[in-house]
Amino acid sequence: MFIQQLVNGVSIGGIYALMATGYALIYSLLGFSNWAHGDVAMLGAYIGFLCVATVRMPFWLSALTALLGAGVISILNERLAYRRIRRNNAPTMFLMIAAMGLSVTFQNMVIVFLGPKFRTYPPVIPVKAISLGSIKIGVLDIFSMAFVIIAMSLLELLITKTKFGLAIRAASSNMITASLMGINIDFYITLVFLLAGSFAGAGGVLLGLKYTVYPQMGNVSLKAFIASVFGGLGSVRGAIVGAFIIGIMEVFVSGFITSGLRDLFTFGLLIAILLIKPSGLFGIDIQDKA
Amino acid sequence: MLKIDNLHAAYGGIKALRGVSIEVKPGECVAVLGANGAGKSTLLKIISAIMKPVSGSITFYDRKIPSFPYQVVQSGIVHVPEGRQIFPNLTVYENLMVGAFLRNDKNGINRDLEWVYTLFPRLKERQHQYGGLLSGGEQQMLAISRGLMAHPKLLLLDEPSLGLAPIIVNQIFEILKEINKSGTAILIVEQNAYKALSVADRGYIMSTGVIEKSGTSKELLSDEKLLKAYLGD
Ligand SMILES: Nc1ncnc2c1ncn2[C@@H]1O[C@H](COP(=O)(O)OP(=O)(O)O)[C@@H](O)[C@H]1O
Ligand SMILES: [Mg+2]
Repeated sequence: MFIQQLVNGVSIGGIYALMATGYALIYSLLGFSNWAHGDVAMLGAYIGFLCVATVRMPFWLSALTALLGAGVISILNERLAYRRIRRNNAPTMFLMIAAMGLSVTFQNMVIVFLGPKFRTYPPVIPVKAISLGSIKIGVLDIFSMAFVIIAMSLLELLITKTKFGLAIRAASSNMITASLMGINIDFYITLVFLLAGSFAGAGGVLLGLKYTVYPQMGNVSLKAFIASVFGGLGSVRGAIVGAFIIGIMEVFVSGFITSGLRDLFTFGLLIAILLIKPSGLFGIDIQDKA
Repeated sequence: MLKIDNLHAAYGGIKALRGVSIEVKPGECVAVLGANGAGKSTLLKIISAIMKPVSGSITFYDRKIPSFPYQVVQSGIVHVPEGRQIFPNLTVYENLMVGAFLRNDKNGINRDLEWVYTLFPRLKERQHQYGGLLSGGEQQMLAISRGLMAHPKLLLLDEPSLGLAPIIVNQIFEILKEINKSGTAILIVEQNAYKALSVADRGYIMSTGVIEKSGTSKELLSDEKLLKAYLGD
Protein backbone atom coordinates (compact mmCIF):
# COMPACT_ATOMS: atom_id res chain seq x y z
CA MET A 1 0.00 0.00 0.00
CA PHE A 2 2.77 2.41 0.94
CA ILE A 3 4.83 1.68 -2.17
CA GLN A 4 1.70 1.79 -4.30
CA GLN A 5 0.87 5.29 -3.05
CA LEU A 6 4.46 6.38 -3.48
CA VAL A 7 4.33 5.37 -7.14
CA ASN A 8 1.07 7.27 -7.60
CA GLY A 9 2.60 10.29 -5.91
CA VAL A 10 5.67 10.22 -8.12
CA SER A 11 3.45 9.98 -11.17
CA ILE A 12 1.37 13.06 -10.31
CA GLY A 13 4.44 14.86 -8.94
CA GLY A 14 6.10 14.41 -12.32
CA ILE A 15 3.24 16.22 -14.02
CA TYR A 16 3.52 19.05 -11.50
CA ALA A 17 7.26 19.13 -12.21
CA LEU A 18 6.61 19.69 -15.92
CA MET A 19 4.64 22.80 -15.03
CA ALA A 20 6.77 23.96 -12.12
CA THR A 21 10.06 23.98 -14.06
CA GLY A 22 8.70 26.30 -16.75
CA TYR A 23 7.14 28.46 -14.12
CA ALA A 24 10.48 28.64 -12.27
CA LEU A 25 12.43 29.43 -15.44
CA ILE A 26 10.18 32.38 -16.25
CA TYR A 27 10.28 33.55 -12.66
CA SER A 28 14.06 33.37 -12.53
CA LEU A 29 14.41 35.45 -15.68
CA LEU A 30 11.65 38.02 -15.37
CA GLY A 31 10.92 37.98 -11.64
CA PHE A 32 7.16 37.57 -11.83
CA SER A 33 4.57 34.89 -11.23
CA ASN A 34 3.21 33.85 -14.60
CA TRP A 35 -0.38 33.11 -13.63
CA ALA A 36 -1.22 32.26 -17.24
CA HIS A 37 1.17 29.30 -17.17
CA GLY A 38 -1.50 26.82 -16.09
CA ASP A 39 -3.82 28.04 -18.80
CA VAL A 40 -1.15 27.38 -21.40
CA ALA A 41 -1.16 23.81 -20.05
CA MET A 42 -4.97 23.77 -20.36
CA LEU A 43 -4.80 24.99 -23.97
CA GLY A 44 -2.21 22.29 -24.67
CA ALA A 45 -4.60 19.69 -23.27
CA TYR A 46 -7.39 20.98 -25.51
CA ILE A 47 -5.18 21.08 -28.61
CA GLY A 48 -4.16 17.47 -27.99
CA PHE A 49 -7.75 16.46 -27.30
CA LEU A 50 -9.10 18.12 -30.45
CA CYS A 51 -6.37 16.58 -32.60
CA VAL A 52 -7.03 13.09 -31.27
CA ALA A 53 -10.81 13.14 -30.83
CA THR A 54 -11.99 15.50 -33.56
CA VAL A 55 -9.32 15.51 -36.25
CA ARG A 56 -8.48 11.87 -35.44
CA MET A 57 -4.77 12.33 -35.80
CA PRO A 58 -2.48 9.65 -34.36
CA PHE A 59 -1.75 10.20 -30.68
CA TRP A 60 1.98 10.92 -30.97
CA LEU A 61 1.33 13.57 -33.62
CA SER A 62 -1.48 15.08 -31.55
CA ALA A 63 0.77 15.26 -28.51
CA LEU A 64 3.52 16.88 -30.54
CA THR A 65 1.04 19.43 -31.91
CA ALA A 66 -0.15 20.13 -28.36
CA LEU A 67 3.43 20.71 -27.15
CA LEU A 68 4.30 23.03 -30.03
CA GLY A 69 0.93 24.79 -29.87
CA ALA A 70 1.32 25.47 -26.16
CA GLY A 71 4.88 26.66 -26.79
CA VAL A 72 3.70 29.08 -29.47
CA ILE A 73 0.86 30.40 -27.27
CA SER A 74 3.39 30.93 -24.51
CA ILE A 75 5.66 32.89 -26.87
CA LEU A 76 2.70 35.00 -28.01
CA ASN A 77 1.90 35.87 -24.38
CA GLU A 78 5.44 37.17 -24.05
CA ARG A 79 5.53 38.99 -27.38
CA LEU A 80 2.12 40.63 -27.21
CA ALA A 81 1.84 41.38 -23.52
CA TYR A 82 4.87 40.91 -21.30
CA ARG A 83 7.46 42.35 -23.70
CA ARG A 84 5.61 45.64 -24.05
CA ILE A 85 5.35 45.94 -20.29
CA ARG A 86 9.06 45.19 -19.92
CA ARG A 87 9.91 47.83 -22.53
CA ASN A 88 8.08 50.46 -20.51
CA ASN A 89 10.19 49.59 -17.47
CA ALA A 90 6.95 49.07 -15.58
CA PRO A 91 7.03 47.37 -12.16
CA THR A 92 7.01 43.54 -12.35
CA MET A 93 3.66 43.65 -10.57
CA PHE A 94 2.21 44.78 -13.93
CA LEU A 95 3.49 41.59 -15.54
CA MET A 96 1.68 39.52 -12.95
CA ILE A 97 -1.54 41.45 -13.45
CA ALA A 98 -1.28 41.01 -17.24
CA ALA A 99 -0.77 37.28 -16.67
CA MET A 100 -3.93 37.13 -14.53
CA GLY A 101 -5.80 38.89 -17.31
CA LEU A 102 -4.54 36.39 -19.88
CA SER A 103 -5.53 33.52 -17.59
CA VAL A 104 -9.14 34.68 -17.31
CA THR A 105 -9.25 35.47 -21.05
CA PHE A 106 -8.07 31.99 -22.05
CA GLN A 107 -10.51 30.24 -19.72
CA ASN A 108 -13.43 32.29 -21.00
CA MET A 109 -12.45 31.90 -24.62
CA VAL A 110 -12.45 28.14 -24.20
CA ILE A 111 -15.84 28.25 -22.49
CA VAL A 112 -17.26 30.38 -25.34
CA PHE A 113 -15.80 28.44 -28.25
CA LEU A 114 -15.60 24.89 -26.91
CA GLY A 115 -18.09 24.89 -24.05
CA PRO A 116 -17.72 24.39 -20.30
CA LYS A 117 -18.06 20.58 -20.45
CA PHE A 118 -15.57 18.09 -19.05
CA ARG A 119 -14.02 16.04 -21.86
CA THR A 120 -12.24 12.74 -21.81
CA TYR A 121 -9.44 11.66 -24.10
CA PRO A 122 -10.26 8.55 -26.10
CA PRO A 123 -8.30 5.54 -24.77
CA VAL A 124 -5.15 6.27 -26.78
CA ILE A 125 -3.02 4.70 -24.08
CA PRO A 126 -4.30 1.35 -22.79
CA VAL A 127 -6.02 1.75 -19.42
CA LYS A 128 -4.37 -1.45 -18.25
CA ALA A 129 -2.21 -1.77 -15.19
CA ILE A 130 0.95 -3.81 -14.91
CA SER A 131 1.43 -5.81 -11.71
CA LEU A 132 4.80 -5.91 -10.04
CA GLY A 133 4.26 -8.15 -7.03
CA SER A 134 1.61 -6.40 -5.00
CA ILE A 135 2.03 -3.06 -6.79
CA LYS A 136 -0.02 -2.06 -9.79
CA ILE A 137 1.24 0.61 -12.13
CA GLY A 138 -0.98 1.95 -14.89
CA VAL A 139 0.51 1.95 -18.38
CA LEU A 140 -0.30 5.66 -18.55
CA ASP A 141 1.66 6.29 -15.33
CA ILE A 142 4.67 4.45 -16.72
CA PHE A 143 4.45 6.44 -19.94
CA SER A 144 4.04 9.65 -17.98
CA MET A 145 6.96 8.96 -15.62
CA ALA A 146 9.24 7.96 -18.47
CA PHE A 147 8.41 11.16 -20.31
CA VAL A 148 9.03 13.26 -17.21
CA ILE A 149 12.36 11.60 -16.49
CA ILE A 150 13.56 12.21 -20.04
CA ALA A 151 12.28 15.78 -20.07
CA MET A 152 13.86 16.65 -16.72
CA SER A 153 17.20 15.09 -17.66
CA LEU A 154 17.29 17.00 -20.92
CA LEU A 155 16.40 20.19 -19.11
CA GLU A 156 19.18 19.65 -16.57
CA LEU A 157 21.69 19.08 -19.41
CA LEU A 158 20.40 22.12 -21.26
CA ILE A 159 20.81 24.37 -18.24
CA THR A 160 24.18 23.13 -17.02
CA LYS A 161 25.98 22.12 -20.20
CA THR A 162 24.93 24.31 -23.11
CA LYS A 163 25.37 27.87 -24.26
CA PHE A 164 21.62 28.32 -23.95
CA GLY A 165 21.90 27.37 -20.27
CA LEU A 166 24.82 29.72 -19.72
CA ALA A 167 22.84 32.55 -21.30
CA ILE A 168 19.76 32.06 -19.15
CA ARG A 169 21.75 31.55 -15.96
CA ALA A 170 23.66 34.76 -16.64
CA ALA A 171 20.52 36.66 -17.64
CA SER A 172 18.59 35.52 -14.59
CA SER A 173 21.46 36.64 -12.40
CA ASN A 174 21.87 40.08 -13.99
CA MET A 175 20.03 40.86 -17.18
CA ILE A 176 21.69 44.17 -18.03
CA THR A 177 25.19 42.81 -17.57
CA ALA A 178 24.31 39.72 -19.59
CA SER A 179 23.24 42.00 -22.43
CA LEU A 180 26.50 43.97 -22.09
CA MET A 181 28.37 40.71 -22.65
CA GLY A 182 26.60 40.11 -25.96
CA ILE A 183 23.62 37.98 -24.96
CA ASN A 184 20.56 38.81 -27.06
CA ILE A 185 18.15 38.88 -24.15
CA ASP A 186 14.88 39.02 -26.10
CA PHE A 187 15.88 35.99 -28.14
CA TYR A 188 16.64 33.88 -25.07
CA ILE A 189 13.46 35.01 -23.33
CA THR A 190 11.54 33.84 -26.40
CA LEU A 191 13.27 30.44 -26.21
CA VAL A 192 12.49 30.15 -22.50
CA PHE A 193 8.80 30.84 -23.14
CA LEU A 194 8.82 28.23 -25.90
CA LEU A 195 10.40 25.68 -23.57
CA ALA A 196 8.19 26.54 -20.60
CA GLY A 197 5.06 26.53 -22.76
CA SER A 198 5.89 23.15 -24.31
CA PHE A 199 6.54 21.62 -20.92
CA ALA A 200 3.25 23.04 -19.67
CA GLY A 201 1.52 21.66 -22.77
CA ALA A 202 2.97 18.23 -22.06
CA GLY A 203 1.77 18.49 -18.46
CA GLY A 204 -1.68 19.45 -19.72
CA VAL A 205 -1.91 16.47 -22.09
CA LEU A 206 -0.77 14.06 -19.36
CA LEU A 207 -3.28 15.50 -16.90
CA GLY A 208 -5.99 15.28 -19.54
CA LEU A 209 -5.14 11.64 -20.19
CA LYS A 210 -5.09 10.82 -16.47
CA TYR A 211 -8.24 12.77 -15.54
CA THR A 212 -10.33 15.05 -17.75
CA VAL A 213 -10.01 18.19 -19.86
CA TYR A 214 -11.99 21.26 -18.78
CA PRO A 215 -11.57 25.06 -18.95
CA GLN A 216 -10.41 25.53 -15.35
CA MET A 217 -7.96 22.64 -15.29
CA GLY A 218 -5.09 25.14 -15.51
CA ASN A 219 -5.72 26.13 -11.91
CA VAL A 220 -3.59 23.14 -11.05
CA SER A 221 -0.64 25.43 -11.80
CA LEU A 222 -1.18 26.74 -8.26
CA LYS A 223 0.50 23.47 -7.30
CA ALA A 224 3.38 24.35 -9.60
CA PHE A 225 3.60 27.70 -7.88
CA ILE A 226 3.68 26.08 -4.45
CA ALA A 227 6.30 23.61 -5.67
CA SER A 228 8.43 26.52 -6.85
CA VAL A 229 8.12 28.41 -3.58
CA PHE A 230 8.85 25.22 -1.68
CA GLY A 231 11.98 24.51 -3.73
CA GLY A 232 13.11 28.13 -3.75
CA LEU A 233 11.54 30.61 -6.16
CA GLY A 234 13.37 30.73 -9.45
CA SER A 235 15.35 27.53 -8.83
CA VAL A 236 14.61 24.90 -11.46
CA ARG A 237 16.00 22.02 -9.40
CA GLY A 238 14.07 23.27 -6.40
CA ALA A 239 10.89 23.29 -8.47
CA ILE A 240 11.43 19.66 -9.50
CA VAL A 241 12.03 18.51 -5.94
CA GLY A 242 9.12 20.61 -4.67
CA ALA A 243 6.78 19.17 -7.31
CA PHE A 244 7.57 15.58 -6.37
CA ILE A 245 7.21 16.29 -2.65
CA ILE A 246 3.81 17.89 -3.20
CA GLY A 247 2.65 15.09 -5.50
CA ILE A 248 3.67 12.42 -2.99
CA MET A 249 2.23 14.33 -0.04
CA GLU A 250 -1.11 14.77 -1.77
CA VAL A 251 -1.43 11.11 -2.58
CA PHE A 252 -0.54 10.12 0.97
CA VAL A 253 -3.01 12.57 2.50
CA SER A 254 -5.74 11.34 0.15
CA GLY A 255 -4.89 7.70 0.70
CA PHE A 256 -4.23 7.60 4.42
CA ILE A 257 -6.28 10.50 5.79
CA THR A 258 -8.97 11.80 3.47
CA SER A 259 -8.97 13.35 0.02
CA GLY A 260 -10.96 16.29 1.35
CA LEU A 261 -7.91 17.49 3.27
CA ARG A 262 -5.50 17.18 0.34
CA ASP A 263 -5.42 20.85 -0.62
CA LEU A 264 -5.44 21.94 3.00
CA PHE A 265 -2.15 20.11 3.49
CA THR A 266 -0.67 21.52 0.28
CA PHE A 267 -1.49 25.11 1.14
CA GLY A 268 -0.51 24.50 4.76
CA LEU A 269 2.90 23.48 3.43
CA LEU A 270 3.09 26.73 1.45
CA ILE A 271 2.32 28.81 4.52
CA ALA A 272 4.76 26.82 6.65
CA ILE A 273 7.56 27.36 4.12
CA LEU A 274 6.85 31.05 3.85
CA LEU A 275 7.02 31.36 7.64
CA ILE A 276 10.00 29.10 8.31
CA LYS A 277 12.28 29.33 5.28
CA PRO A 278 10.97 31.84 2.73
CA SER A 279 13.92 31.25 0.43
CA GLY A 280 12.84 27.61 0.01
CA LEU A 281 14.82 24.37 0.01
CA PHE A 282 17.29 25.44 -2.66
CA GLY A 283 17.16 29.00 -1.36
CA ILE A 284 18.31 31.48 -3.94
CA ASP A 285 18.39 34.95 -2.44
CA ILE A 286 15.00 36.34 -3.36
CA GLN A 287 15.31 39.71 -1.62
CA ASP A 288 15.31 41.76 -4.79
CA LYS A 289 13.19 39.50 -6.96
CA ALA A 290 10.16 38.73 -4.83
CA MET B 1 37.57 54.93 -34.22
CA LEU B 2 34.90 56.15 -31.76
CA LYS B 3 33.43 59.60 -32.35
CA ILE B 4 30.80 61.10 -30.08
CA ASP B 5 29.26 64.34 -31.19
CA ASN B 6 27.05 66.70 -29.19
CA LEU B 7 25.47 63.99 -27.07
CA HIS B 8 22.52 64.83 -24.84
CA ALA B 9 20.96 62.43 -22.33
CA ALA B 10 18.39 62.59 -19.56
CA TYR B 11 16.69 60.51 -16.90
CA GLY B 12 13.12 61.68 -17.13
CA GLY B 13 13.45 65.43 -16.61
CA ILE B 14 16.98 65.33 -15.17
CA LYS B 15 19.60 66.19 -17.76
CA ALA B 16 22.66 63.98 -17.34
CA LEU B 17 24.65 64.90 -20.48
CA ARG B 18 24.51 68.28 -22.21
CA GLY B 19 26.38 68.30 -25.49
CA VAL B 20 29.27 65.91 -24.91
CA SER B 21 31.77 65.40 -27.74
CA ILE B 22 34.74 63.07 -27.39
CA GLU B 23 36.89 60.90 -29.59
CA VAL B 24 38.98 57.76 -29.22
CA LYS B 25 41.54 56.86 -31.89
CA PRO B 26 42.69 53.31 -32.66
CA GLY B 27 45.01 51.96 -29.96
CA GLU B 28 44.53 54.95 -27.70
CA CYS B 29 43.75 54.99 -24.00
CA VAL B 30 41.45 57.89 -23.18
CA ALA B 31 40.21 58.93 -19.75
CA VAL B 32 37.02 60.80 -18.87
CA LEU B 33 37.39 62.27 -15.41
CA GLY B 34 34.73 63.73 -13.21
CA ALA B 35 33.30 63.74 -9.71
CA ASN B 36 30.39 61.57 -8.63
CA GLY B 37 27.27 62.44 -10.65
CA ALA B 38 29.16 64.11 -13.51
CA GLY B 39 27.56 61.80 -16.09
CA LYS B 40 30.44 59.40 -16.73
CA SER B 41 28.44 56.19 -16.37
CA THR B 42 25.63 57.65 -18.44
CA LEU B 43 28.09 58.24 -21.27
CA LEU B 44 29.21 54.60 -21.26
CA LYS B 45 25.63 53.29 -20.96
CA ILE B 46 24.70 55.18 -24.11
CA ILE B 47 27.71 53.89 -26.06
CA SER B 48 26.84 50.30 -25.15
CA ALA B 49 23.16 50.90 -25.99
CA ILE B 50 21.66 49.98 -22.64
CA MET B 51 20.37 53.57 -22.57
CA LYS B 52 18.97 55.73 -25.36
CA PRO B 53 20.30 59.26 -25.88
CA VAL B 54 18.03 62.28 -26.30
CA SER B 55 20.09 63.50 -29.25
CA GLY B 56 23.58 63.48 -30.69
CA SER B 57 25.57 61.01 -32.74
CA ILE B 58 27.93 58.16 -31.94
CA THR B 59 29.92 56.47 -34.67
CA PHE B 60 32.37 53.59 -34.49
CA TYR B 61 34.66 53.29 -37.52
CA ASP B 62 32.37 55.83 -39.22
CA ARG B 63 29.26 53.70 -38.73
CA LYS B 64 26.37 54.59 -36.47
CA ILE B 65 26.42 52.59 -33.27
CA PRO B 66 23.76 49.80 -33.37
CA SER B 67 20.73 49.99 -31.11
CA PHE B 68 20.90 46.69 -29.20
CA PRO B 69 23.66 45.96 -26.67
CA TYR B 70 24.55 42.58 -28.19
CA GLN B 71 25.06 44.24 -31.57
CA VAL B 72 27.40 46.77 -30.00
CA VAL B 73 29.46 43.85 -28.66
CA GLN B 74 29.42 42.31 -32.14
CA SER B 75 30.77 45.55 -33.56
CA GLY B 76 33.77 45.33 -31.20
CA ILE B 77 32.94 47.46 -28.15
CA VAL B 78 32.63 45.94 -24.69
CA HIS B 79 31.47 47.83 -21.61
CA VAL B 80 32.79 46.68 -18.20
CA PRO B 81 30.14 48.19 -15.93
CA GLU B 82 30.51 50.10 -12.68
CA GLY B 83 30.55 47.95 -9.57
CA ARG B 84 31.94 44.94 -11.50
CA GLN B 85 28.56 43.13 -11.82
CA ILE B 86 30.04 39.67 -11.65
CA PHE B 87 27.51 36.82 -12.02
CA PRO B 88 27.75 35.52 -8.44
CA ASN B 89 26.12 32.15 -9.11
CA LEU B 90 28.42 31.36 -12.06
CA THR B 91 31.97 30.10 -11.65
CA VAL B 92 34.92 32.27 -12.63
CA TYR B 93 35.34 30.16 -15.76
CA GLU B 94 31.65 30.46 -16.64
CA ASN B 95 31.78 34.22 -16.11
CA LEU B 96 34.61 34.36 -18.63
CA MET B 97 32.67 32.20 -21.08
CA VAL B 98 29.74 34.62 -20.88
CA GLY B 99 32.24 37.25 -21.99
CA ALA B 100 33.08 35.09 -25.02
CA PHE B 101 29.39 34.46 -25.71
CA LEU B 102 29.24 35.73 -29.28
CA ARG B 103 32.41 33.97 -30.39
CA ASN B 104 32.65 30.61 -32.09
CA ASP B 105 36.40 30.50 -32.73
CA LYS B 106 37.42 27.86 -30.20
CA ASN B 107 41.13 28.43 -30.69
CA GLY B 108 40.81 32.17 -30.31
CA ILE B 109 38.74 31.76 -27.16
CA ASN B 110 41.34 29.43 -25.63
CA ARG B 111 44.13 31.82 -26.56
CA ASP B 112 42.35 34.73 -24.88
CA LEU B 113 41.55 32.57 -21.86
CA GLU B 114 45.25 31.76 -21.45
CA TRP B 115 46.03 35.44 -21.91
CA VAL B 116 43.69 36.69 -19.17
CA TYR B 117 44.93 33.91 -16.88
CA THR B 118 48.47 35.19 -17.48
CA LEU B 119 47.41 38.75 -16.77
CA PHE B 120 45.55 37.70 -13.61
CA PRO B 121 46.93 34.39 -12.29
CA ARG B 122 44.55 34.64 -9.30
CA LEU B 123 41.66 33.96 -11.67
CA LYS B 124 43.20 30.74 -12.91
CA GLU B 125 43.67 29.54 -9.34
CA ARG B 126 40.03 30.24 -8.62
CA GLN B 127 38.50 29.31 -11.96
CA HIS B 128 36.07 26.77 -10.50
CA GLN B 129 34.89 28.95 -7.63
CA TYR B 130 31.69 30.96 -7.75
CA GLY B 131 32.15 34.58 -8.80
CA GLY B 132 30.29 35.74 -5.72
CA LEU B 133 33.01 34.30 -3.46
CA LEU B 134 35.82 36.45 -4.88
CA SER B 135 37.20 39.51 -3.10
CA GLY B 136 36.43 42.96 -4.50
CA GLY B 137 39.79 43.18 -6.25
CA GLU B 138 39.46 39.72 -7.75
CA GLN B 139 35.95 40.57 -8.95
CA GLN B 140 37.31 43.65 -10.72
CA MET B 141 40.00 41.51 -12.36
CA LEU B 142 37.28 39.08 -13.42
CA ALA B 143 35.08 41.88 -14.77
CA ILE B 144 37.95 43.20 -16.91
CA SER B 145 38.90 39.71 -18.07
CA ARG B 146 35.29 38.86 -18.89
CA GLY B 147 35.21 41.95 -21.08
CA LEU B 148 38.48 40.95 -22.77
CA MET B 149 37.07 37.51 -23.57
CA ALA B 150 34.87 39.18 -26.18
CA HIS B 151 38.11 40.24 -27.91
CA PRO B 152 37.01 43.89 -28.19
CA LYS B 153 38.66 46.55 -30.30
CA LEU B 154 37.54 49.10 -27.71
CA LEU B 155 37.14 48.39 -24.01
CA LEU B 156 34.94 50.73 -21.94
CA LEU B 157 35.84 50.72 -18.23
CA ASP B 158 33.61 52.29 -15.59
CA GLU B 159 35.57 53.20 -12.43
CA PRO B 160 37.72 50.09 -12.06
CA SER B 161 39.36 51.61 -8.94
CA LEU B 162 36.07 52.02 -7.08
CA GLY B 163 36.23 50.73 -3.50
CA LEU B 164 39.57 48.93 -3.89
CA ALA B 165 42.71 49.17 -1.75
CA PRO B 166 45.44 51.34 -3.33
CA ILE B 167 47.81 48.41 -3.78
CA ILE B 168 45.19 46.48 -5.79
CA VAL B 169 44.36 49.61 -7.78
CA ASN B 170 48.04 49.93 -8.73
CA GLN B 171 48.16 46.30 -9.80
CA ILE B 172 45.05 46.63 -11.95
CA PHE B 173 46.20 49.84 -13.62
CA GLU B 174 49.58 48.28 -14.47
CA ILE B 175 47.69 45.55 -16.27
CA LEU B 176 45.46 48.06 -18.04
CA LYS B 177 48.66 49.51 -19.51
CA GLU B 178 49.61 46.07 -20.73
CA ILE B 179 46.16 45.48 -22.26
CA ASN B 180 46.37 48.82 -24.04
CA LYS B 181 49.87 48.00 -25.32
CA SER B 182 48.56 44.77 -26.79
CA GLY B 183 46.46 46.92 -29.16
CA THR B 184 43.08 47.18 -27.42
CA ALA B 185 41.86 50.77 -27.27
CA ILE B 186 40.50 51.83 -23.87
CA LEU B 187 37.99 54.45 -22.80
CA ILE B 188 38.14 54.66 -19.03
CA VAL B 189 35.93 56.83 -16.83
CA GLU B 190 37.25 57.54 -13.34
CA GLN B 191 37.04 59.75 -10.28
CA ASN B 192 40.62 58.76 -9.50
CA ALA B 193 42.16 61.25 -11.94
CA TYR B 194 45.81 60.67 -11.06
CA LYS B 195 45.57 56.94 -11.50
CA ALA B 196 43.59 57.16 -14.72
CA LEU B 197 45.91 59.75 -16.25
CA SER B 198 48.89 57.54 -15.38
CA VAL B 199 47.69 55.06 -18.03
CA ALA B 200 45.79 57.32 -20.41
CA ASP B 201 47.27 59.15 -23.39
CA ARG B 202 44.65 61.90 -23.18
CA GLY B 203 41.86 62.96 -20.89
CA TYR B 204 38.60 64.90 -20.75
CA ILE B 205 37.30 66.56 -17.65
CA MET B 206 33.57 66.34 -17.19
CA SER B 207 31.40 68.26 -14.78
CA THR B 208 27.58 68.06 -14.54
CA GLY B 209 27.17 66.64 -18.01
CA VAL B 210 29.55 68.99 -19.81
CA ILE B 211 33.15 68.51 -20.99
CA GLU B 212 35.01 71.36 -19.34
CA LYS B 213 38.51 70.69 -20.58
CA SER B 214 40.58 68.25 -22.54
CA GLY B 215 44.24 67.64 -23.13
CA THR B 216 47.07 65.16 -22.99
CA SER B 217 47.56 63.42 -19.68
CA LYS B 218 50.72 65.42 -19.14
CA GLU B 219 48.93 68.74 -19.64
CA LEU B 220 46.09 67.81 -17.33
CA LEU B 221 48.35 66.44 -14.61
CA SER B 222 50.43 69.62 -14.58
CA ASP B 223 47.36 71.75 -13.89
CA GLU B 224 46.72 70.94 -10.25
CA LYS B 225 44.28 73.79 -9.76
CA LEU B 226 42.10 72.39 -12.50
CA LEU B 227 42.11 68.87 -11.12
CA LYS B 228 41.28 70.19 -7.66
CA ALA B 229 38.48 72.39 -8.95
CA TYR B 230 36.66 69.65 -10.86
CA LEU B 231 37.55 66.54 -9.00
CA GLY B 232 37.89 67.85 -5.45
CA ASP B 233 40.99 65.75 -4.86
N1 LIG C 1 18.78 55.69 -12.94
C1 LIG C 1 18.82 57.02 -12.76
N2 LIG C 1 17.66 57.71 -12.55
C2 LIG C 1 17.69 59.05 -12.38
N3 LIG C 1 18.80 59.80 -12.40
C3 LIG C 1 19.97 59.17 -12.59
C4 LIG C 1 20.03 57.75 -12.78
N4 LIG C 1 21.32 57.41 -12.96
C5 LIG C 1 22.03 58.56 -12.87
N5 LIG C 1 21.22 59.61 -12.65
C6 LIG C 1 21.64 61.03 -12.54
O1 LIG C 1 22.34 61.40 -13.71
C7 LIG C 1 23.48 62.15 -13.39
C8 LIG C 1 24.73 61.47 -13.93
O2 LIG C 1 24.87 60.20 -13.31
P1 LIG C 1 26.05 59.19 -13.67
O3 LIG C 1 26.18 59.11 -15.13
O4 LIG C 1 25.77 57.93 -12.94
O5 LIG C 1 27.31 59.93 -13.04
P2 LIG C 1 28.75 59.37 -12.68
O6 LIG C 1 28.88 58.01 -13.29
O7 LIG C 1 29.67 60.36 -13.26
O8 LIG C 1 28.82 59.33 -11.19
C9 LIG C 1 23.49 62.30 -11.87
O9 LIG C 1 22.93 63.55 -11.56
C10 LIG C 1 22.62 61.20 -11.40
O10 LIG C 1 21.96 61.55 -10.21
MG1 LIG D 1 29.27 56.24 -12.34
